[in-house]
Amino acid sequence: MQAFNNLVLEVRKLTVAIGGKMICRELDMMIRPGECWGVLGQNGVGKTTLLRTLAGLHTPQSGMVSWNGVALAAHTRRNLAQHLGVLLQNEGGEFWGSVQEYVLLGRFPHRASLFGYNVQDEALAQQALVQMDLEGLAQRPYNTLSGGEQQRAAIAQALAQQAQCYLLDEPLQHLDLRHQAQTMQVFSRLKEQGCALMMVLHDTLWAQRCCDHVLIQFADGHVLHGTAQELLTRAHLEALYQCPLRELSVEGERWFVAGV
Amino acid sequence: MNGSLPLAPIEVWYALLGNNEDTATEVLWQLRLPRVLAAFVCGGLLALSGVLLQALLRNPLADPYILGISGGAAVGALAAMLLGAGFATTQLSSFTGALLAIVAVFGLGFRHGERNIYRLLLTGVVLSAGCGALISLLLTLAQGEQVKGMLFWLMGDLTHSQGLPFAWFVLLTVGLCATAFSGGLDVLAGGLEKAAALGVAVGRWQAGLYFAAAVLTVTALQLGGSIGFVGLMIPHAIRLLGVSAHRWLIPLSTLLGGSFLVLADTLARMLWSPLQLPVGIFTALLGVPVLLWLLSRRS
Repeated sequence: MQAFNNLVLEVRKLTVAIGGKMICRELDMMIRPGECWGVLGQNGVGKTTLLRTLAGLHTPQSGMVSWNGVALAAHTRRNLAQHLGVLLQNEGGEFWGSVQEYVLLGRFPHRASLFGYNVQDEALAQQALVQMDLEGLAQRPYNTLSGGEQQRAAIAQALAQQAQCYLLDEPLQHLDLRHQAQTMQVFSRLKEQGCALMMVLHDTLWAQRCCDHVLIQFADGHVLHGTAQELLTRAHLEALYQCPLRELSVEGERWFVAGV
Repeated sequence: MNGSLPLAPIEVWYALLGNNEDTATEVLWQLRLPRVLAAFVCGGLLALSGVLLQALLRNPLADPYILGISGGAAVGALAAMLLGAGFATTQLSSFTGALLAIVAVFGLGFRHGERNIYRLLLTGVVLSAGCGALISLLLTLAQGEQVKGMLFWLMGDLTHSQGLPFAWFVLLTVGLCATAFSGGLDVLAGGLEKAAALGVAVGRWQAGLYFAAAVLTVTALQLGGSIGFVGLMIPHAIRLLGVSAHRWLIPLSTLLGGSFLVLADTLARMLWSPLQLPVGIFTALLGVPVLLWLLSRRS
């Protein structure tokens, strides 16, 4: 994969609200190639809405999100989909085809012909299936998969998209421990290759291990962002989750556990 | 070959070559062939409309009549019949009814390019229910022979099919376009927001699908009245056989829908010959056991 030195997702004075609830006010930030951002916040603070806004799927109240210097609204959806990969929560829908066909849909924005996918598309879909440990399930109907398997298929589809920036809403939901680790390794490799990533996480350990930047969202629309080192502290996280935390050190890693 | 006047295979062959000007040739070219072609195109139109509506509404119960188009057409047709109108006026009236239903459902249920298909679906279902009440009223007000004609229209009847070349044109044009855009339909099946994230202009696609399905349904209604079950069953039958990618689902559903209606219509003409029964009876009688068998096999 090539380096994407100039491809930046930029947010300027972004104010987002949904159903009368403030999600963020005048947010300024920039996601650069090779950066991995974690988004943390309590349930219902609007992490998904913020991510959808950054993906151009929700219209903000004011401000602008731009990709490569051009406002998202000025891009065609296809053009945007060639660069921005989005993983949504519960996105399966009524898909009647096989897992392989589902993953191949990730190549839709890059498709050269109206009448089907080419050999390269199929090879990239196969590669994504292998990355997500799904090659044995490739021919199974998608709607017969378990929740965790469907989640891996959705991530595989996003990987097949070969985007330069990924916006991932709870990529680890439904995944067992092995697949959580495997998935985060895949994301780390993408980051090393120059991809920009932003992911909503609930596990602060994964945020510490994989994210170099963190955005924390409070219920009143207040948002903090900075380096993971600055923000992943007990004081910030206690304020964020509104509960006492215990800080443990295990083999050199800090664990935050909710106090009882 | 089969019908109220049985023709031997050799007679059909000579009649097809068109060498003779006998009764067999006349029956084949004037009656049987147009009827078979009408049944085929009508079945293809309904099945294709079913595929497109199931993709649009992302609902396995969607069929060409779910959005009230057939209800509007039926109210138009039955009202004209009640007033004693002739065939052409009845056709025009049913077309007008269908058109009003299409505009009403689109206008009320699908404004401003919104992606909320539930509003569209509910608007269609509510309109269908309203049309159902009007149909009951019209049937109650009708007398003797009028009721029989109305029931034939409601159950589907290919006896007076007209506008065959136009129906073929619609089927081939929409079928080819839908096949060409089948990749987008696969993406839409994976979820609307996901489709948008994968580069599909969802609002435009939904409007295009709605009007394509509406044109197919109206053309089928004009050809054979309200023939049920084909649009719902055929796409599912193909899916249950393991085909779900739209680039195959579209042509296979069209072919199977057409063939299925030819078979049902042949039975409708033959079983109580010379009496012809509404073809809609046979689409259900044949289709229900086949679909149930496929479902049990799949489970």
